[in-house]
Amino acid sequence: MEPKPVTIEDDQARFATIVLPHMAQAYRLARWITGNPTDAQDVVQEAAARAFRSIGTFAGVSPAAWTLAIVRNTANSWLRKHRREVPSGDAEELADKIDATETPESDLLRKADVESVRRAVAALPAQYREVIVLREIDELDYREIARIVDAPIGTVMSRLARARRLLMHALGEVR
Amino acid sequence: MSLGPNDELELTAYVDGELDAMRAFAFERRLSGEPDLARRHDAVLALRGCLREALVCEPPRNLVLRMPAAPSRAAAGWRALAASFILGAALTGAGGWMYLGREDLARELVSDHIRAQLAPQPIDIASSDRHTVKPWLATHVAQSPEVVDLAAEGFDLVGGRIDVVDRMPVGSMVYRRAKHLISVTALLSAPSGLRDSLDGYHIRYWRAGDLTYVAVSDVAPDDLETFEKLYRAATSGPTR
Repeated sequence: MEPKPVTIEDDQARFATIVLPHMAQAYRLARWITGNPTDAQDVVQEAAARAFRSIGTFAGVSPAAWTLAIVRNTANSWLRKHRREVPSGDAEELADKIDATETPESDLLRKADVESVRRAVAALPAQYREVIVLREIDELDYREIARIVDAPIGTVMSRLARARRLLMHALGEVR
Repeated sequence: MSLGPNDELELTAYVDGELDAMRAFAFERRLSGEPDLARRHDAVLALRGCLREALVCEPPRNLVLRMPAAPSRAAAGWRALAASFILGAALTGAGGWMYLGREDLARELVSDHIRAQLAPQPIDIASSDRHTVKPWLATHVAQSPEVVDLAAEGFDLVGGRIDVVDRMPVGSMVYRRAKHLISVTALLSAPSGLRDSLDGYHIRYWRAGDLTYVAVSDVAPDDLETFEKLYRAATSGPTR
C-alpha cells in the first residue's frame, strides 16, 4: 500500500498539538525580548508561520522547547533588524564590575514596583533577558533553556547568575 | 567573609533546583552558617518574587495567527492562507487556543468573519462604493460576486476582503448594520445543509447566478433575513 501523503490538514493538526499549547509562553517570551506588546504580536505571528512551515522537522523531543526556540530566534532577528539591542559586552563588563557581595536588602527588592522591575529587565542584554524569562516566569529547567537558547548548560547558569547580579544592582540602586 | 564567583554560581544552581541532593544538602548547611550567603539567597528569592509579579502577561485575546499555505502552494502568495488560529476566551471559554480547521464550511466562514472583526482592519479594501469593491474582488479571486448597494435600507457597504475557504481564496463583501458587521462570502460551490447559527453567529445562504452567497453576522436573525431578501432582490434584478 502506498504511504498516505502528508496533507496540509495533517500539518494543521500537528501544529495544533505541538505549537499552539505553548503560545502563551511564546507571547510572553516575545513580549519581554522585544520589549513591547505590539512587536510581540508580530514576532509570535511570524514565529508561528515559521513553525507551521517547518512542522515536519519537529523531532518529537520537547514541543515547548522546539516552539520557544523558534520564537526566540524570530524575536532576536527582530531585535537585530530594529537595532534595539543593548550591546552585551557593556553589560558583561558592568556585571563583572559589580561586587558579588553587594547584596541589596531583600525588603528593598520586595518593595520594587512593577515599572522599575520592567525597566531593569529591559536594560538587560537580550541573552540575559531571555534566560530570566524562561527560568523565572516559565520555570523551565537548565536543560530546556539550553536547548531553546542553543547554549551549553553551564552558559545558561552563568548568564542567570550575571542577569540576577545586574537586576539586583539596578533595583537596589533605584531607591 | 565574602562571596566568590563559585559561591554565586552554586547559589544560582541551588535556587534553580539544579543541584543534586547531596550538593543541595551541603549547600543548605553552608546557608545556615554563612550570613552573607544567606542574605544573597534571600535576595535572589525576593528578586524572583518581584520578577514574577512584574513580568506575568497574557497574550491579547484577539491575537490571530494566520498560517501560510504549505510550501507547494506558496506560489499562490499571501492569499493562500491555509488556516487561521484565533486566541480568545470568548471563543473557547477557557482562554486557550482554538484550532479552526475545516470541520465544516459554516465554521470556516464564521471564523473568517470573527477574524475580520478582531483584526485591526476588518477589510482588505475599504470602500462604500460597490463600483470600487466589485472590480477589486474580481482581480483577486476566481468568482466575480455581485456587490450591491443597500445603504438606503440601512446596510452600509464598508468594503471587501479575501477569505480562504477550502484552501481557495474567495471574495467577501462586508456590510455594517449599526455596530454589527455582516460578511457575505461568494462561493462557486453549492453547499447545502449549512447550519443557521454557530457560536452565536447567524448564517444565511442563497444561490444567485453561478454563485452561492453566505452571510454571517451577529445582527439579529430578523435583520439578517431582511438583508438576505434585499441582497437577493438586488442580485436577481434586471442588472443581471
